[in-house]
Amino acid sequence: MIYPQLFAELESKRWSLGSDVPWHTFQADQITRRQLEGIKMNALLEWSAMPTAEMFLRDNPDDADFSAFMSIWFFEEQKHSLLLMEYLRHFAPDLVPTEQELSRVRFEFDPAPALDSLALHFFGEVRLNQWYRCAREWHTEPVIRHVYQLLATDEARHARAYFRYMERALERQGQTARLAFAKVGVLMCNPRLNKVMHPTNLHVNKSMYPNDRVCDQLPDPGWFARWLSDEIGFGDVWEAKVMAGILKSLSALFGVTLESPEALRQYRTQLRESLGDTNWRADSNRTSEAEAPSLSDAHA
Amino acid sequence: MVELPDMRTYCLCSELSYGDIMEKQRAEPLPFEDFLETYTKCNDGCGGCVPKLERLLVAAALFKTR
Repeated sequence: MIYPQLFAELESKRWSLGSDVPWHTFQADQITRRQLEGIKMNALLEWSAMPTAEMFLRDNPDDADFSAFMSIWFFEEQKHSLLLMEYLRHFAPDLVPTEQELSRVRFEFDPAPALDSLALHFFGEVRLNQWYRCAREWHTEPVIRHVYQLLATDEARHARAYFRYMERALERQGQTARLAFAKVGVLMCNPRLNKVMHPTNLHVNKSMYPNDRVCDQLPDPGWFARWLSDEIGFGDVWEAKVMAGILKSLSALFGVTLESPEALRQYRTQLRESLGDTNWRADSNRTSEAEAPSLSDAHA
Repeated sequence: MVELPDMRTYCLCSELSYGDIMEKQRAEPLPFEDFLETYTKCNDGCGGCVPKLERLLVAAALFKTR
């Protein structure tokens, strides 16, 4: 069981909403209305941990260890949302999300293969870690800088926890897990796809398509992409950090050196061929197209 | 016996592999606190790699207290 050790490790690093946030250092002239609106959107996105936890619990009925870890992950992600809402409650109370707005990001995700979802969320945490680090650098207001630092380091810990379950999956499910992780990795490293490459920007419920991303449930659905490109400036330098996190982690996981997305693609192709998967060419072509990312891509 | 981490393991906060971090320590050994401060970003990061790096340093006889 990984859960007991993770519980101890994460508990030892846990910060307090009351005593570890320097609320008294707030500088009103260092934050704009637009930035405050972005904090609200991030609070709403973090709230989507709720349907994600529901998905993980539903799709992993035989995995008591991972399901128990979900209790920690869910708690800490909800705490992120609460922290951002507390910031707004202190400094921009009119922007605190309403319960109705929070409820909108909770909707059912279609069932998904557990290995794919695990990998998706590992890569998502790697990306989120860099997004929050970038947001921290962009902001000048001291309290929100501290908040984004707390969030970034939590996301790095979550990535490490997901990674441990990926290592366990390789031990238990061998090539099936390897192929699933390589497949999702190729999707997440595809430079032709939208750079908002995170589970909250994936299509997750066919009956609601095309408005079935968590982002679509925000009061301003186009905010996420604008926040990254026009506001915090998440450009090529930051993107390279995400790619390094993904490729080097997969290198360690697979025991091979994967220096580029192309190397990962080739690795996946070789893996599929070695396993006698005859459908790989059609699938490989499809995931290289510049189309909106969806769970069905990852789950092909 | 506790298994040592793979040297290819990647520290997200430091943006370096454990192998790269160990190489820095091998080239110029520093006391552990200075090692963390100088060769990693663990002190400002998630801290998840600290015990693993400590184990690697001890195993490689590169752990220094002062």
